[in-house]
Amino acid sequence: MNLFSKFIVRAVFRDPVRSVVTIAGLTLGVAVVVAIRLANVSSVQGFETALEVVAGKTSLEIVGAGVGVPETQLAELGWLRQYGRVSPVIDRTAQIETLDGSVSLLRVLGVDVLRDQPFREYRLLRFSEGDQGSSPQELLAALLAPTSVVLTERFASRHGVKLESPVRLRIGDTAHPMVVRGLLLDEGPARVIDGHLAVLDIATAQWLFDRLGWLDRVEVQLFVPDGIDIAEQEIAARLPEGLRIQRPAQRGRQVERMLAAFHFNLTALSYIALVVGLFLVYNTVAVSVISRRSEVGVLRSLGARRSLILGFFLGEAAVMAVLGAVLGTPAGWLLAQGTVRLTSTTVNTLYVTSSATVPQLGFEDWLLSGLIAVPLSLIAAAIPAAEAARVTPLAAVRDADHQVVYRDFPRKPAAAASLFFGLGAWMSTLEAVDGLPLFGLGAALAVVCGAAALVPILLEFVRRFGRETLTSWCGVEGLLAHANLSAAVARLAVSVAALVISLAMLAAIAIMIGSFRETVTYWVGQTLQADLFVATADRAPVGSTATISTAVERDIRTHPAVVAVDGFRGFDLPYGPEGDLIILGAGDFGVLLDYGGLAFKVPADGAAAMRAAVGRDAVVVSESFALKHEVGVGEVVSLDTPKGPRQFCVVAIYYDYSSDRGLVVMDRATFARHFGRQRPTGLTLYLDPDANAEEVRTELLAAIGPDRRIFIRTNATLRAEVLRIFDSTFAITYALEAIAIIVAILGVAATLLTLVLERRRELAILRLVGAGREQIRRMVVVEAAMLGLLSQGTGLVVGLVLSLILIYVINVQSFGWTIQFHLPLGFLAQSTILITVTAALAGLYPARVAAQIVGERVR
Amino acid sequence: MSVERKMKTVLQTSNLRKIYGQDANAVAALRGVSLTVDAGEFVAVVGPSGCGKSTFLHLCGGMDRPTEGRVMVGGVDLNELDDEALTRVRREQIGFVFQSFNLLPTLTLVENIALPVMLAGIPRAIYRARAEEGARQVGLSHRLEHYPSQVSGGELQRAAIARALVHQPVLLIADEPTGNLDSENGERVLRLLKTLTSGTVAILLATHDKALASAADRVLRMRDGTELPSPESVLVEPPQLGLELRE
Ligand SMILES: Nc1ncnc2c1ncn2[C@@H]1O[C@H](COP(=O)(O)OP(=O)(O)OP(=O)(O)O)[C@@H](O)[C@H]1O
Ligand SMILES: [Mg+2]
Repeated sequence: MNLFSKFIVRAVFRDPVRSVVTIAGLTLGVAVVVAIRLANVSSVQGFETALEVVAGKTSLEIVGAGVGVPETQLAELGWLRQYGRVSPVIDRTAQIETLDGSVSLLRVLGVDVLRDQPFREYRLLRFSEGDQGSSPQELLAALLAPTSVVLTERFASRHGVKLESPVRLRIGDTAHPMVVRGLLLDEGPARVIDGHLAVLDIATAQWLFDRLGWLDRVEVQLFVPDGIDIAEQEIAARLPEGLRIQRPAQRGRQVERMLAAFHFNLTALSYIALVVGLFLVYNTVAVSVISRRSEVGVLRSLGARRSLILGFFLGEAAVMAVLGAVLGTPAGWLLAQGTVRLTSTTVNTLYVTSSATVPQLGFEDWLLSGLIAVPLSLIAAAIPAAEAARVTPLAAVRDADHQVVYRDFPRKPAAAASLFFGLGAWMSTLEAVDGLPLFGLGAALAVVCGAAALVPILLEFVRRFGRETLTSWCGVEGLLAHANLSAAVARLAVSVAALVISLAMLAAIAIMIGSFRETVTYWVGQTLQADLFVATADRAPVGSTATISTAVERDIRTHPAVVAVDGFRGFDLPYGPEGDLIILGAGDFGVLLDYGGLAFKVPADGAAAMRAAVGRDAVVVSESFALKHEVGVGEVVSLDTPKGPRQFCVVAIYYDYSSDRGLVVMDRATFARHFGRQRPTGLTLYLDPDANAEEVRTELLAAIGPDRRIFIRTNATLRAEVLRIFDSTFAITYALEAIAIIVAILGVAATLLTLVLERRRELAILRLVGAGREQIRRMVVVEAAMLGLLSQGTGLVVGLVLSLILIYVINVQSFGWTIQFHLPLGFLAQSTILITVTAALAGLYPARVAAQIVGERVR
Repeated sequence: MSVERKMKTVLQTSNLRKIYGQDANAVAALRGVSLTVDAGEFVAVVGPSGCGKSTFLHLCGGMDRPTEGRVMVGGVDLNELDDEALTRVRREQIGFVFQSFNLLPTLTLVENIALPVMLAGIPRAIYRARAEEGARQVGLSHRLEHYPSQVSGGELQRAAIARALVHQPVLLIADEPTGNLDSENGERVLRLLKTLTSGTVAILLATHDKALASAADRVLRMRDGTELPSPESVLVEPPQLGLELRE
């Protein structure tokens, strides 16, 4: 141990910059992994907590197909009382305006208080000062008036709301004035979702949410909780067509499944920064081995065993890994705050509305960081450490210093590279595993490893053929830079590989996103033909259920410039054996065909097929639905309807990039036949060609009046909005990638610094024969820039290959989208310049250190 | 060559002192050495190990700054130059040869030889020709594209000499140039030094080698950082230095 502290710990301090950079790199790597994990957990957990809160002690729940449970059926379900207590529930979200002017999103529960009492722990209510606890009767009384709402104490104190305060609930296009009649104490259910809960009487809720005659579900609390399996089976058998029984947790699982691909890809991405960090560990240990070869030789000649040497260097890696994990875990927690903000927009826009908060760090988070960082670091360090253990005592006497090894063509890396590339090619042809692109990512990983193996070959190539070019570009500094790099090929290979990998990932992601964006832009141009779009919320998940009121629809339809209106209604529907949540949509096929512009994948004449579908039990499906559920044109899909499962024929597949969950769309008439008349959630307006959309919009808003909350967007703003959402979805991707590149550039700078420090003597000779400070500085900067340029050049090529895998394998397997390949040349050119400049800048510090070297003793 | 040139003073030091380190660790390596070297003159510096020969040479070559005293090279006081100007003086007026040959391992021999002229920004065609000429003069024409690790010690030192002279300096500073060579190679190096400078370049050479010192026009004998009085051009061998001087 004493020897360890002398030999390794002191060395860590002797080269503090490299140690700090490595630990910083590891810290960032661990932090990113922790952050993404916490963010993923929190977005699912945000939903699950909310679920738990409202599920309470419910053991089973009865749900209808898509639109809910018709209230009339409740009467037929009297027999349910044999099994347990029964409570009908309306479960929605709404925005609340408080007196302090703020608007917040609330979970709104509409319950029959007397029946619901045993289900949820809101016994503890306070109606007036000093009054502790209350009976259900009191709660009922509080809720009886149709303007009554009960909020939580936590929410109320945050927004200055008191008993009898007026508030407004925004539901759909209408803001309803309400009065706060009670406050839930800050415990139990109220606490878990941070107080964002409101309770209404069920009748009020049905009225406000346009759910008259419908229930969102019927909850059952069993008398004999242990008999749940039998009860579930028996009830399932007795339920009428169109109703299903399930356990509350199933909804959470559905959301989890829905987010799985999104989360999986984020997680995969987050590991890039860690991999780069591990390269730094490898690099640090390798450099530490190389620079202490003769010391190791001395130790060996003095009788140190191989295992001791191995232990020393592994110990060095372990120390750094532990530090990285210890620092990275809280850093990851901090990072997660930002990540949640970045991803919650995506999750809320594209998947579910949930208020995500980052969970506190637990012991297992620290443990997990350690379990990720330490073994991986040890693996990374194993190769150079094993090399150290092979050092013979001879190394002590032989001057290994300043020996330039001119090697043969690097055969081993070449073999490894071809092996990896072959593996990648093979894996890219394999199918997804359970909807996750495991082999696709495997292929990407193989290409990345292949690229890493390629680096020594490239460096060797540059060593052999680059001197003339570099000398003619940068003069004597170029020649010296080339000479220096040539001598350090073995050492540089790893840090350059790390940089190449992160740059390749950046290029790949840029190409993928660029292609995707281009595709979406094209698709939006094709599809968004309408002049105005009417919705009730400024942004909402695709299957949002807030409806447009009749009054508003009437105002709109009567405007003289409005030629045609397509009312769209969409909601979530479980589909298939796993109950995947798809989006079922209903639109006016006639209007869509006359005015709209769906882009069809199959058949070629999709419009004709769609026209033929009107009046039949036929649907058009989105590409991602077709891919995920393996459905083709002419095949039949079975959808749950209130009257039980029904068969629908797929007549066409169209391109859609609005959701990866998959859309099934039917004509309004068909929809009404199966699901009953439902108010639309959005309207698409086609105007007289002479009308000015902007003016019509203003007139419509004026006609509807300021009391209605309605959003009308013009074609141009909606297109801009789509791209804005698109960009915010990928903001996190770029953020993660930027971190990986920072880590990698730090790695290159640290390596250069090490090389400079090792070359002190040579630098002194250079100064002696007349090299000025400026020349030395330029030489090091040229080295750095050259490494940057080389890495970026390689990164671009490898990135191109990776982007093909991302676009044609991973994306298709996880989201089911066709993306047209498109090279974002501008971005790639910019990033090339940026990377080269950044690398050169990163060389400034080592350059300064190099230029300071003068008084070295030269003998 | 010409009489005027011969008479010109190339190097002049007065009362040169150098103290390394501070306080308890302070080492007085030089305690006042004054020397004048004229153009074309060959001055050998001898003395026991640790007497300050290398220190003296470093100061004369502008590699380090004295604690006290002055060094004038070509009439310019090195103390008054900033780093850049000092670099220029080294690059244009002085050549260096050391015991360990100090070639850059990453450059070929011809590149190593060309280095001073390359650094001066001379066009490639010219420096290349000059370096090849220099290599020819030291008999290395067949080794131009070899790396230092691929040639022998004697060849390395000859390359170092070519490098030291490629930019036609007025002063050559050589610190034990034969210290790492066998006697045969040592003699060859001496011959080269004498023929290549042929009276135009002043040489300041520190050595333990009696033969080398005896070839000099003048000998500066040092001990404990000071000069010992000695008869011109004659090497008087003090008995206590016998061991060091035998080689
Ligand atoms: N950087 C330094 N720091 C401290 N002391 C030094 C330093 N360089 C040299 N010295 C000391 O200064 C004295 C003179 O050293 P110098 O190298 O000039 O001797 P030298 O005559 O060249 O010896 P040798 O014949 O062994 O080469 C020695 O005592 C040496 O230890
Ligand atoms: Mg010496």
